[in-house]
This record gives sequence, structure tokens and C-alpha cells, in this order.
Amino acid sequence: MKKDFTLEVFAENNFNILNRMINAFNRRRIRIKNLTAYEMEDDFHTGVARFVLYTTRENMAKVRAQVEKFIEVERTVLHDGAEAYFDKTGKTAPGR
Amino acid sequence: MPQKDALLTKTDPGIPAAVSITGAEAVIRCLVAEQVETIFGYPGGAIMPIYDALFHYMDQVKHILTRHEQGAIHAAQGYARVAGKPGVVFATSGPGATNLVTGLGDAMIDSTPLVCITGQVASQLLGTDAFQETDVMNITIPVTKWNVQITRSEDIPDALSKAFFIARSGRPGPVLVDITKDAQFGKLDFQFRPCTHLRTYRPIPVLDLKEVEAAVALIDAAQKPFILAGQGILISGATDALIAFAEKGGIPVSSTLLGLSGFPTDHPLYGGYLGMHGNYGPNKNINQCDLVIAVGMRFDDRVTGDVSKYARQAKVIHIDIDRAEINKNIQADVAVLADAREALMALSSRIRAASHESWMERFRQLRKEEYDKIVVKDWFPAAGEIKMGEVIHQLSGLTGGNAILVTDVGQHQMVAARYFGFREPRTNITSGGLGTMGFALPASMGAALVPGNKPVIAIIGDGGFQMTLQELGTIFQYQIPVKIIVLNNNFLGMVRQWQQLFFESRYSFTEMVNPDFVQLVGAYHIPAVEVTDRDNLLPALTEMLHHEGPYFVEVKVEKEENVFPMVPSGAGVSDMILEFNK
Repeated sequence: MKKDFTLEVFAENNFNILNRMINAFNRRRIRIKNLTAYEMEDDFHTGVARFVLYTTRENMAKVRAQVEKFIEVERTVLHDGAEAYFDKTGKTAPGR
Repeated sequence: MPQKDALLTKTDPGIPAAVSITGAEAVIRCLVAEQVETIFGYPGGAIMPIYDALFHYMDQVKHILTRHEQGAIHAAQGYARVAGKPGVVFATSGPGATNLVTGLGDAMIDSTPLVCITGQVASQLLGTDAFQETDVMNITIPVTKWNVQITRSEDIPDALSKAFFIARSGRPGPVLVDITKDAQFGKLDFQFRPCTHLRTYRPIPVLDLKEVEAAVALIDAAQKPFILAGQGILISGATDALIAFAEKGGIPVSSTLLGLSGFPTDHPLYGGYLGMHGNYGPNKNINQCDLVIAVGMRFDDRVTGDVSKYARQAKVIHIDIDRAEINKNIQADVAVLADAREALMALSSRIRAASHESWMERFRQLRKEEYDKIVVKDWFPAAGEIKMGEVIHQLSGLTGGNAILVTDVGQHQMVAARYFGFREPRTNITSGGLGTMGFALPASMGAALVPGNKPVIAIIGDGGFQMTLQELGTIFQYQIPVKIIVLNNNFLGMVRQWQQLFFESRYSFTEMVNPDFVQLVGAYHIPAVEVTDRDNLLPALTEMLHHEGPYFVEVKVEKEENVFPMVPSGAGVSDMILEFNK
């Protein structure tokens, strides 16, 4: 069953790493419902990308492992649902 | 300008550690520092400064000018797979870079270490649709382990040492370094620092002994264990460790297509070749075993068929260096995340010595059934046209397995995988995951340029041969001693077979009207013969192997021969068919 997941990816802020992540989701036809990406205020070499993804738990686990093996990726944090995304960015979900 | 004066800073053992040189020369000096012996490439406008620097280092590094960038990258793949170290490719921007994409995709899926260096337009022209500008970074993201664009000359040494480290470590793969022309012209204070560590990259997982112990418990309890050996065995140099492990546990071993040559095919525990056109025994027995021990393989769909019908009765131990492969296609009961050699040695020292004679007997029975129904007809046909199987069988006998076999993609590839006797590691080079027709001829060039004393034999179909036959020019120019065998059935044979079996024999655009290959090859001054008569086959192969330089043999084979056994697409492996009932 498909549902929302929030995946936070902490990575070196190199050109292309965000594209690599998006490609990984696109390749499995995983819908990206929301995305915020930014570099750390105190260290511009490090960036964070936070995705709300709509997919199955099984697919989420598989694509997460693929994202984690990108050279620049330091770690990922996975949350069930989209609440973590909206809580941390201070935004509210459309229609909520 | 005299050659010596053109590059005043050429490497000198007495040169100071940091010296001001161009980015282009820094590229070459990095390759020398990385002990690169051979580069495969094709020059063009955006990479001219690097080629000019290379001109001054010809005494330290060899460059092979191929006839197409795809030829260069496949040659580098062949080189890398035999040498066990990264192959290096030069190409220019735009079409030069895009011509690498098929090879990158092939190397990515087959875990082949490559460092590809592409020239790029000057940095101020990026994004302007300048002449021969293309967005090589975004184009190559899905087909590279890592890629980077360099716009400042001072970034070149660290980027290249990082590129080599990433390409060869962990699960190897292709890396692309795109260097703008201004970065090639710019000056830097050169200092080479080998890369051995990256903060965010952990190529070799730490072996978890708890997982090892869990695996040992399953192995010791198993009555019908079965080892599936993939290319990870070859990459980690684990052949001796695999033999020791299998012998101690008395466990049959089967190889994937890329795993072939990782375990000797004449070993009593060898169970055969896995997959859609593999041997009957291993495909049937995968659904009879009680324990699968998968080592350095990824349960490719050509190995598993329908996963819902694959080894459902068995426990699964999956040993792999790549965490993303665990549970990707087949759920593991125990996952050992590790280098194959390290894991096998840890298991060997802990498992109980055992033998599973009745289980091995099941392999022998199925091998005999396959031999009687298929192999004997392929090896010793009583009459009719020459069969692919008898060519490979005779070649295997003549070489005693002491050769490096490079195959293309299609029927001949499957026949070679089934019938050639692989004895030593890194003697089977083929395009497995991507299935790239046109791979073998250039890959065999790279394989033959690795120092060694084994003959390199390319087995190619008439379709694949015509995809990259421009590389005959490279073979001629450098007198690369490749032995080329084209098995010509005037068809795209595998597609035709599928059309016959699954599309009611509608041969839609698979028949080929071919040129006179012997004359064509002769135009490159490569000795060439055609074999149409069975009696001439053995003498022609013998002559080919005795010839010192490149040699070409075209064998006219049965036009509508089918490769059996086979697992029909989408079926379970146990549904493997031994023969076609019309």
C-alpha cells in the first residue's frame, strides 16, 4: 500500500547530488510530493534535502539504500508520513 | 616550437614536490602517479590541451587511438576486467562524451572500474549551447558511480585521485571527470596526494560476526546447500577462498554469467551455469535446495526468472559488499554485508566439514539428462551445418581453458558460457547486465593489452560484429593480437529464436544480408579465413591459435539454430525447457 514518507538526506553539497537523488526516485516512478533543499548555515559544504515521497514501504526501503550509497551522502533519516516535513519547515500541508 | 621546449615542466624524478604546471599536464601526471599504463581515447577540440600534454609523456603512458569513443570505453572495460584495475578513457566534449554513455551504462551495471576524462567547453560557455557543448554531467548521472565537473585547474589533482579511489573501491564502477578547457589551460602548483578515504563514503563494510555465526548455523544444518557465485568472487579475488569454503562444506557451486571463471568448471563441485540459458541442473535444483548461499551476485532477473517461483522452499544467505543489493530482488534470511573473500574465509573457518553426496548426485543426474538431450547434439552433430556449440567445444579443447574469452551478446554468448571450460579467474569477459551488442571486439582489444600470456579470443555474432567493426582499424594499427571468431548465421539469432518460440515464427527484421567479412577484414591486412565445412573447423581454429598477431575466422553456422535449455521469459526457473516442441 502506498503512503507518504519523509526522507531527509544529509550530504555534501556538491553539484549534481540533488539530481542523483531525484533520479533515484524517478527511476522507480516514486512520486515526489514535496521537496526542500538547502545548505547548512554554518557549513555550506553540507546540505540537506527533505523529500515527501508517496510509495510503498518496500520500495521506500529499497530506494533509501540506493540513495545512501551515493558517494556524497552522509546519512538519511526516514519518517512515516509527511508530518516531519511540515513540522520542521514550518509550512502547512495544502488542504490540511 | 621544439617538442622538448613545449612543456618545460615535464615530470622529472628530481622535480620539486610542488611545481607550477598546466591543468592539462596535471591530468597526465596524476595518471602517471596512479600507475596508469594504457589510455583508450579519441581527441577533439575540448580535450586538445590534455592530448598536447600527453604528447610529452608518451614514454610513460601508452595511448590507444580507437576509431570511436564507444570502442575506447569498451576497450577500457576489457582492460579493467582482466587487469583488475580501472580502465582509463579520454574523450572530447559533446558527441565524444555522449558516445561514452553506452559503455558507462554497461560498466555501471557490471561493476567495472573506469575513469573517464572528458574535455568540456570553457567554463564561461557552460550552458550557452556552445559548439560541442552538452550537459555531460546530467546525462551521465544514472550511469556513473560518481561524476564531477572541474572548472579550476587547481582542483584537478584531488578530483582525479578521488576518481580513482571511488572507481576501484568497494563495489567498483565507472567515474567521469569533466574538465573545462580553461581549467586545462590554467596553471596550478601541482602536488599529487593519493585518496584513501572520503568522509561520507564507506566502501568496505565491517564484517558483522553475528551475521557470520547466523550463516554458519544455517550452513551446518542444511542438507541441500547450494552456492551461487557471482562476479564479486572475481572482484575480491576470492576464488581460492570459495574453493576452500565449498570443499570444506561439500557444497555445489554454480556461477552467474559474470561469475564464470570465478570457480573452475572442471571442479567436482561445479554445478553449472545459472540463468535463462544456463545449465539444466542448477536451474532445476534451485527449487530443490534447502539453503541458498549467494556470494557477490545480485539475483538478476535473468538468473531468477519469476521471483515468486524462485527458491521459495529455501533459506537464503546473501553475501554482498553493496547494501542496496540486500533484499532488492530476493529476501535474505541472513545478510552478510562484506567483501566476498573476507566473508568466505570467516565462514570457512567456522563451518563443520561435511559432504552432501546424494545432493551432488542430483546435479550429476540432471547434467547427464542435459548432455543426452542437448549437449551431445551440439558438440557432435552427425550431419548438417556447423553448430555454435561444436565451435566452442573445439575451442575449449584446443586451449584447455588457457585463454581469455571475450563474448558479445546473443546466442553465441550463451553457447560460450555453457560450453567453454573456464579454469582461471578473469578469463570470461562479457557484457552481462546491459547486454551491449558490439561490446566484444573493442573489449577484446583492451583485454589483449593487459600484460599476460593467455590468448584473447573474441566470440561474436554477425550482428554485434557490425556494430563496432570500425575497431578493426585499431587492431590493425597497433597489431593487437586478438583472435576474432564470428559465428555467422545471417540472423540476429537470439531475437529470431524468440520470434520463433513466442511470436509464431514471424521473423520481423532479424535476417541480415552481410558483406564478405573475409574481404572486409582483409582490407585491414588482418589474416582472415571462412569456414563452411565441418572438416575445416579444427584446422582453422588451430591455425588461428598458432598465429602470433590478430587473426579472423568466420564460421558459417546453422541459420536457425536455437539455444536450449531456456527459461521462457516470465516463467519460473523450474519451468526450464530442454527442447522446443513444434
